[in-house]
Amino acid sequence: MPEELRQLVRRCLDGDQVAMQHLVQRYRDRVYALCLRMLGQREDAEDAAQETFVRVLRSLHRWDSQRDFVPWLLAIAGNRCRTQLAVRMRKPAPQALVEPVPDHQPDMMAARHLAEEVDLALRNVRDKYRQAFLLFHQDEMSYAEIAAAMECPLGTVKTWVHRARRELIRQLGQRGVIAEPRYATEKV
Amino acid sequence: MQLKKFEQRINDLLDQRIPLDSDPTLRDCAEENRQCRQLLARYEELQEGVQLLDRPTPRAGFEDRVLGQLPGTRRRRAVHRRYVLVALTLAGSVLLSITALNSNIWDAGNQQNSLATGHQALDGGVADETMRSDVRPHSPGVPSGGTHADVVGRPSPQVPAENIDEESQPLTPDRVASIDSYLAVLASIENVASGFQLQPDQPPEAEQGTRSEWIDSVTGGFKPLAVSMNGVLRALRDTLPAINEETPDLQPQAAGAGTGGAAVPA
Repeated sequence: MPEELRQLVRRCLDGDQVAMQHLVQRYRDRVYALCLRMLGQREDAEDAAQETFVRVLRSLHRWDSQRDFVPWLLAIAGNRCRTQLAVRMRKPAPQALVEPVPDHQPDMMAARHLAEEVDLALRNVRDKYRQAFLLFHQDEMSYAEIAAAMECPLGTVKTWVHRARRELIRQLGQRGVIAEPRYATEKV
Repeated sequence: MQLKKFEQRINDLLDQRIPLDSDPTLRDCAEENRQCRQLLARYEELQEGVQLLDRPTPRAGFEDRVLGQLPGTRRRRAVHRRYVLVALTLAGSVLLSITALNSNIWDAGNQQNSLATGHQALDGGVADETMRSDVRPHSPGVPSGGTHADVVGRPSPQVPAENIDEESQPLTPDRVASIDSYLAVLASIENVASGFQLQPDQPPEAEQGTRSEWIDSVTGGFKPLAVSMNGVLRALRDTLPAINEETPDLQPQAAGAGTGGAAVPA
């Protein structure tokens, strides 16, 4: 872990509000992105991200400085999201609105369309699979880090990520998002 | 290669973050088998889609909202609010006390002036200057051995002003009267200081002055408030527009310019 981050954490533990602000500013986008992918709604994602940082700042003294900070932070974010999802299961929330596409260029629209479809498909993947998938692909964490963050064996994480991929592939195929194969061979 | 093994290989490459099109085995299988081809294309699309996922940012002020939820910050804000409240209360109390004291002393001074005028009218004139100077504290004519009660109990016949020399004369009945007024001022200040102590229902026998004096002594503590309230009400009456049908232009009510209701005295 970089020394700079260690010092920042130390200042936060001393009650330095500026340091706390810097810490939140540094990781807010990653945490918020994960929360948004997990929850699918901006308001819920922001609530979960806020709760995550509040918990992190409150229990910063419990963090083992030998461990990486980001996996610990994202693990807390994932837990908050799963808690919110559990609450939502009991109390169904209104469907999230799909934001309008501002750009009319065909390539951009196609790319954006694909990203939106992946985003939508992700919402139908099981929570733990989704979290593991996002931590691996979006936050580029290693399997070992994800396993530590989610407190489960490395092999289990691998399986979850593979299952998430397969589930996404299945959904994208069903929705007709997947294009025709690129490897159009001439010698079939 | 079986389709299942083909998919496993794709996953292995993705796990190691190796681009799929860089593996010749996969390419060869995809070229030969339609299902493998489709599967590889779907994984590539998925990978592309994941990379295209945007990195959304929360609304502005996110950090402040987080810090606002921390208990320490909340407590500090609450303490700050409490300090401000206490400071405002203290300032208000001090202001009220000062106003009360000023008004009380002013009222007592007026009372003395009116008494002096009354004495002047009755006795052929007692000098105002003498009366005013006698109201001052530490008047040199007060005997050091006598108590206030002794002094107050004596009768107070009036003496013309020209016969009085406050610096050299011994205690005389008119000086006793002025000491009496001085004590009245003191008593009214004590009333304010001691939180407006309750007064007896009837004038005590020792104070057989006029009834108005007794009422003044009883209500002396409340006068400052009444004076202040009167001032505020008068100011409001002067400035607020009249809200009725006869004055639709909402002009401030001037003296004598109205409906006969709330004309402000000049």
